[in-house]
Amino acid sequence: MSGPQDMEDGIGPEHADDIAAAEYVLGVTGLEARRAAEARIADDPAFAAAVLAWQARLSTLDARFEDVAPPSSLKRGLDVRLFGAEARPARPGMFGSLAFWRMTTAAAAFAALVLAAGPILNPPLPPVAEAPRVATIVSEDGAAIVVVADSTARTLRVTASVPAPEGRDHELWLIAGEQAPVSVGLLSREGVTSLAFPADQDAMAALTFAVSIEPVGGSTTGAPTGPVIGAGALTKI
Amino acid sequence: MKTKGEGLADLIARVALRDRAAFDRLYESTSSRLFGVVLRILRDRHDAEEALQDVFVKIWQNASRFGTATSNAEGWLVTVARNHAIDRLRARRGGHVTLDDAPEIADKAPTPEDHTIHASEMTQLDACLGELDAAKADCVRSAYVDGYSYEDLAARHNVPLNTMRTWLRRSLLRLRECLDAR
Repeated sequence: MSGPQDMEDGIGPEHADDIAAAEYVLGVTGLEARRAAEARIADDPAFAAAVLAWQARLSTLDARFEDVAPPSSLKRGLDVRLFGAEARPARPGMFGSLAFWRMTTAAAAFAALVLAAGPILNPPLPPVAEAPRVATIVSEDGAAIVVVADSTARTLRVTASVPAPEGRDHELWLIAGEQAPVSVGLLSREGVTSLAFPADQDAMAALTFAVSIEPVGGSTTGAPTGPVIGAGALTKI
Repeated sequence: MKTKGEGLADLIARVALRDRAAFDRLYESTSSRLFGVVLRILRDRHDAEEALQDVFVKIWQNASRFGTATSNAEGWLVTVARNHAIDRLRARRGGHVTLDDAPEIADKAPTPEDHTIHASEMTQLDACLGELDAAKADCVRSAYVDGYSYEDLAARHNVPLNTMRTWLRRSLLRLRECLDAR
């Protein structure tokens, strides 16, 4: 991607920065040049000012965009993405309260602080949490054990349709590639069992989970000793 | 939306304080505007829908920094949407608009009637663009509004890439001169 410095077109080098600012605002360059311009906006106030000046010069073109209503389902998806499934509305009446105005003052002070950090014309998206993955383990007699893995939080939620036989425990094992199974923990006899990924395991890797029937308290050998109910690979939902 | 300029700045300030109800109202009053922006540039509904969600995630998370960019609330929102859509477009394979893509949205470029109706609203930018060759003014407009890259513009106008760069850069300098003189 060529920058303004390769001008062999009679445009003086004194204009290079301003051209780069205008090109950023117009958006005609590639991603690499855009990221470079944004890095300059963040730490070169003169360049940032040039960008804002071009934004102001060209912004009347914004009138050419016509409104188009997005599908109504989009906002729901947005709420889930931002606030999780328990999307609840904010408390009304907050803005009459003293606490609100104290917060506003604090926010104004905060805004003044970040002023030094350069204008936010193209903020980065926050890193997206990995979508959960699921392993389903089905026994020969049809009992199902579902493992939902959150690789970002390194947590596992396990649900078994039937408990282990009396006097026995279900033990969950993690298998990475060709390696020996590693014990993750015992399943509770009812409800959902929450477990953590074993500390030394890569939670993002391709993984298989298996469940075995063990004496109460689990295998004492570090490997499955009882019958293995079944195994299932983690897959994206 | 223009009449709501002050209301928008207020809503953004409340969103900065994590006021979900204000966020809902901000979405309600600006989502059509911003969807129009990202759809025009991306020309693909599915892509534009994802982009619009991203844009509102950015707005939610950066509302407290809005005042650092500009005091014009609507302008800031459109800028965030435009920049995100352009990034997304550039990140596609090839990075630019396929010229075979029939524009999904009618151009809001002025029709003769518009000229009559809006003559009084003609902006200084329009006046200065009018002083450029029509083709060059069109390059500036379509880069901004349609997200065309230098490569797209060169193909559209059937000129070598370097020629297009020179055209556009000279046009930009002339525009600046014209606008700053007013």
